[in-house]
Amino acid sequence: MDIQSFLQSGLLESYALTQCTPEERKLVEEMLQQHPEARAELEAIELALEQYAQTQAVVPPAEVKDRIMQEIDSASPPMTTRLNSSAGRLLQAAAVLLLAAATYFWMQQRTAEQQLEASRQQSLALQQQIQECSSNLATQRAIVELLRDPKIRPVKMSNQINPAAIPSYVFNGDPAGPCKISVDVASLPVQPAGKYLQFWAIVNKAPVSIGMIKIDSLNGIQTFDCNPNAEGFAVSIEDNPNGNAAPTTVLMFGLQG
Amino acid sequence: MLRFAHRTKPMHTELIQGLQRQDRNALSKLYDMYSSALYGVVLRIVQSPELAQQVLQDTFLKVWRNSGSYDSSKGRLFTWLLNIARNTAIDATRTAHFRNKQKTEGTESLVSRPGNDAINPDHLGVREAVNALDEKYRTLIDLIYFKGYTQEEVAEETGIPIGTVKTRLRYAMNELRKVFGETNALAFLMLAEAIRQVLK
Repeated sequence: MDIQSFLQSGLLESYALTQCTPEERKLVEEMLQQHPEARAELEAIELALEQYAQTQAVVPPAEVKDRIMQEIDSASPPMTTRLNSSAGRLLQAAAVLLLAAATYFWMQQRTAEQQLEASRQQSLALQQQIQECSSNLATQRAIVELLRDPKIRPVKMSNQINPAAIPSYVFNGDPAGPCKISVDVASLPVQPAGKYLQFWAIVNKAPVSIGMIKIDSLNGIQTFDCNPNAEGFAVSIEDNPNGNAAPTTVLMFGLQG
Repeated sequence: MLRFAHRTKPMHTELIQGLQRQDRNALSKLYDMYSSALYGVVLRIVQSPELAQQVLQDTFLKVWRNSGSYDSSKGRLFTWLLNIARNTAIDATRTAHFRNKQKTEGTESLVSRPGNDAINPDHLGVREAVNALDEKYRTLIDLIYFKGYTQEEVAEETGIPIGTVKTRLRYAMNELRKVFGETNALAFLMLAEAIRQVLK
C-alpha cells in the first residue's frame, strides 16, 4: 500500500480508536516505522481525540493522587530505603552478635560468680574452722594455765547419764585469793532446745545453785564466783532457763579431791 | 501538524524517561497532566465516582509498573494512558455489582454528560466548536473512543447499520480534527494546563 492511499484508508483513525484487527494493526505499525508522514498523521488524529477528551475532563478528588503516590512509595522503596534496610540487616546482625557475646560473657560471669560464691563459702567455712580452732586453742591454753596454777584444784566431773563419755573438769580457785570457779563448758554435751544446764555446788551434801551454764562453743570456759565451802560440784539438766531450786536430772557430778 | 508534533515530543520524552527509571516525580507530573481527562472518561464508563477513583488509581499504578511497555513510535502517550484506563474501567464494570446496577439504570446513562466539576469547555473557547459537532457524531466517538465499543457493538447498541457507523465515524473524526486544529490544540493544551493549576 502506498502512503497516500494508506493515509486515505481510515486505518490510522481505526488504529487510534483501537478498532483495528490484528492484521490491520500490524500493517499500521509497519507504515508508522517506514513513513514519518504516517506518524505525523497519527499524531494529529490522536491529538484531536486527546483534546476532545480534555473537554470531558473531570477533576478527581485530591486523595486519589495521594493514594497512588503512597502506593508506589510503599511498593518500590527508593535507594535510600534499600540502603537503610541493608543497614537495618547489618544492625540486626550486629544485635544478634552482641546478644550472643552478651550471653557468652553473662554465662562466663555466672560461672565465675558461682565459683566465687563457692570459694566464699569455703573461705567462710575455713574461717569458722579457724575460729573454732583458735577458740579451742584458747580454751586449751586457758585450761593449761589453770592446771599449771598451783592455787587451782581441778575437779573431775564424770558423766552420770553416760559414764563412758569424756569427763569434764571444774577448776576451783584458791579460797585465799579472789575466788573463781571455771567450768570447761566445751566438753559438756550440747543440749536440745528447751533443756538448760544448771551448775551446783555441793555444800553439806546438799546442792546449792551457782548459776546457769551457757553452752557456747566460742566460749570454752565459763567462770563463776566460787563457794569456798563446796565439797563437790554437779551439773543438772533443767526445763527452766533460769534454773530450779533443786536439780531435776544430774548430768555431771564430781567431788573435790 | 509535523511542527507541532515535534514541539510536544521533548516534554513527553522526558516524562517517559522519568517513568521508565521509576522517578516518582514523573508519575506525579503525569497525573497532574492527564488525571482529569482520564477520570472524565473512566467516570463515563463506570458511572460511579467511588469506582472511578479506584479505576483511576489502578490505572496510574499499572502505568507505573508497565511504563517500559510504552512505545512512542506506536502513538501518543495519552492514547496509551487512555487505553489502560479504558480497559481497567471495563474490567471493573464486569463485576456482578456493576452489572446489576446497569440493568436497573438502563443504557441511557451510557452517553451521560460529565458532572459539575468537569473543566468547563467554555473557558477553553472550544465549546462552540464541540457543540458544532452533531450530537450523533459525538455519541459515536463517546461510545468508541471513551467506552471502547467496537463499531459492530455500536451498530448493535444503536440499531444503526454497520456501514452507516463506519461512514459517520470517518466524518466525525474529520470534524474533530477541524475543531482541534494545530493552533487550537496548542492554545487548548496551555489553557487546560492553566485551569488545572488553578483548580489544584
